Amino acid sequence: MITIGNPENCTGCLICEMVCSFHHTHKFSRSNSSIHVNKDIFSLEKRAEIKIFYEPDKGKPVCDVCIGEEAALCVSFCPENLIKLERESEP
Amino acid sequence: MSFKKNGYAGKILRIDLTTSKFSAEPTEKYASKFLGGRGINQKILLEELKPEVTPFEPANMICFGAGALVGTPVPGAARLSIDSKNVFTNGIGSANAGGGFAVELKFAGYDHLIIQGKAREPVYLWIEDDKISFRPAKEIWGRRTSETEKMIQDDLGQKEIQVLCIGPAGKNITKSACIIVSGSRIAARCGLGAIMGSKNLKAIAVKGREGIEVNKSAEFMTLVKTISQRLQQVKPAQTRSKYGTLVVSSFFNDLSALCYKNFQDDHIPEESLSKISHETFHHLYETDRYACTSCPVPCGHVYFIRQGPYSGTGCFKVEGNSVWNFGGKLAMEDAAAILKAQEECCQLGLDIDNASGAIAWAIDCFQNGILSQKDTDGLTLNWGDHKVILELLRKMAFRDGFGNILAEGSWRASRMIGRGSERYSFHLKGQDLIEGIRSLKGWALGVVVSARGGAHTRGAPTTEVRKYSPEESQQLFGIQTAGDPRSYSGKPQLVHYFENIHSLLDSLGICFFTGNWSTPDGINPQELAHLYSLATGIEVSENELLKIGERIHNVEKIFNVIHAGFTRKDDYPPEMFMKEPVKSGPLKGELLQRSEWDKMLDEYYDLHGWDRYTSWPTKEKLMELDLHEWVGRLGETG
Repeated sequence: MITIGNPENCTGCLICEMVCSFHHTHKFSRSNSSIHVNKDIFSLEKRAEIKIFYEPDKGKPVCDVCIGEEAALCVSFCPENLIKLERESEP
Repeated sequence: MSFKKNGYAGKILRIDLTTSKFSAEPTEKYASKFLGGRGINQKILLEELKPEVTPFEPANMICFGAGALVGTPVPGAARLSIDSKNVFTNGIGSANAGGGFAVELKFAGYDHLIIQGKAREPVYLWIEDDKISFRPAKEIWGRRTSETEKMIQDDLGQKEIQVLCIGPAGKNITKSACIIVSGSRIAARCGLGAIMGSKNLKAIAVKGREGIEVNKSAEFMTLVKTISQRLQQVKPAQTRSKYGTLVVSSFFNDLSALCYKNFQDDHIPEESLSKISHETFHHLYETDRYACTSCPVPCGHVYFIRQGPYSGTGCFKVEGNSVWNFGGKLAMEDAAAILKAQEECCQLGLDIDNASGAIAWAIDCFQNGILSQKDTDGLTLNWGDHKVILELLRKMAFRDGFGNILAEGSWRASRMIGRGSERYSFHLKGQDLIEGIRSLKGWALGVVVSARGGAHTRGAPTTEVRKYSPEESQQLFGIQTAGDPRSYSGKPQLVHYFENIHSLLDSLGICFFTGNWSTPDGINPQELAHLYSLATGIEVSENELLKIGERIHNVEKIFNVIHAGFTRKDDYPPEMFMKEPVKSGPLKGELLQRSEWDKMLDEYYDLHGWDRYTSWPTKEKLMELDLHEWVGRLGETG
């Protein structure tokens, strides 16, 4: 599954959303992405929320870990290396 | 060009505020010759705006253009070019900002917004995909910029929108009013915020749910990834990620290329600069960093003041210019005070370059006995007195008392006051000069000939600041003296080259910091051509693209000739810089030699195919650039 590192290090560049929507629709957009970033610089705290949609929600496409691609695009494009693809650990 | 799968949104939205009507036309009409962003904006202005129209009348137009590659993950492709008539010079007015607005505009389906007319009452525009509405802005009309953005979000009931707006300075048609984009990015210079104010246009909000498609997407993505990974390893990008552009102050000061106390010197004393260094801001105040959309280099930094008189101030936008202007030009040696002044300017919607220029002129005049408390509403003006400087910023934004004079910029203010105050105004074509230009000869040429009236975003080369050795200079630019600040040799060629680069980057919508202006490892013209070809599906070579850059640069030149009547005499630096040398720093003693400047100008005009006497494009050049419709309209030489 996709795991997210410390969201405090997210710069809000939205490259992950762009490349995710490209995987699903062949278009760059924010609305057709399985990942959603909310970076609020005005909170005066390092506040960013990063959410991945594994279930259908508000018309967002569900993350398929970039089926058909060599690597998950959000993982390979994130400039901060915050997004990783990991095996789920045993309970 | 097929307008599907080509990187463009496809439409230009035209809005008339007087009649509240709008219409769309295809971007295709302009794209192949002018690309997008600044290129298409300038083409439309030159073609449609009559020279007699003054900046603040309804017939003036203001154009917002997202670059051709905006809306894709090309590093730094988030730039919005805003163009109109310059309130200081009557020539071209042009400003550029990052953030997320341009990207959202393209996702809404528009490459450009072309706005004319004047709304009867204050309004803001709301663009939600193909729905356009004119919303009343009476409640937010005089509000500070952060509050404006919040109130618009509340009014629309949506948080994830992109907003650009003006503050009180724009409302009051203060000439140094800027436009705040995405809350933290600033389209500064040329008074474009005042033009929005003159049109009763408080803000534009946009939300787009469509997407941008490129032609050869697999190859496009591979190239984008390669460039992005390379950029992250480049040292200037890494230092900007850590410190933002604050880091450049020491580079420029080491070359005596800043302004100290209204150009009394071009070097800030080391002990003063050490108090306001990038390390000071980073260690004492920084809380976060952020990037524009699509940028892997987060040069935006957030600062918060936790103690002292300005405790509780958050500052979302600080640049090298903040230190140059407040720390150098006005001699404020207090980092917290610089943050406070910068944030006040953001909230009032004042551009720090022009605002500080007018204040520096006033302090200099006061110190030299030309102005007194009778002129300044009882204020005593001293260098570095941040309490008084903050009050002057407020007065300027509200055109209150003496602020009404400062609101005109130093050049006009000095003509209103007279009494010899003119010698303390340092301007280019009527707009305040930012930095010291006596030391770096190539940088100086780029700044002085800039069509927008000063500033280093129209060709000033960074080669001198990068201190390239003769060998590196030769290897990178084929000009051995490119890195030598004292040398005049080869500098016109460098300015000519970077003018075309700047035209291209602004028209493709790519940041100068991810392009090859600040470092040769940035996206170079060959890569720009490759990216544009893959995005559009139409093969364009590097040389063809550079020719388009040259065409765009010439369009601005023609606008300046026709609208402002500029000639060769307007391409000279302020007289003092040719008489009084720099007083301190490693390049102490440097000045601009008039005879050498003359030679540089001759060579610069020759390279452009411009007439040496008038500085205007020749008929041959206009024909070569397929701008034949302007032949015969520039007077004898054209």
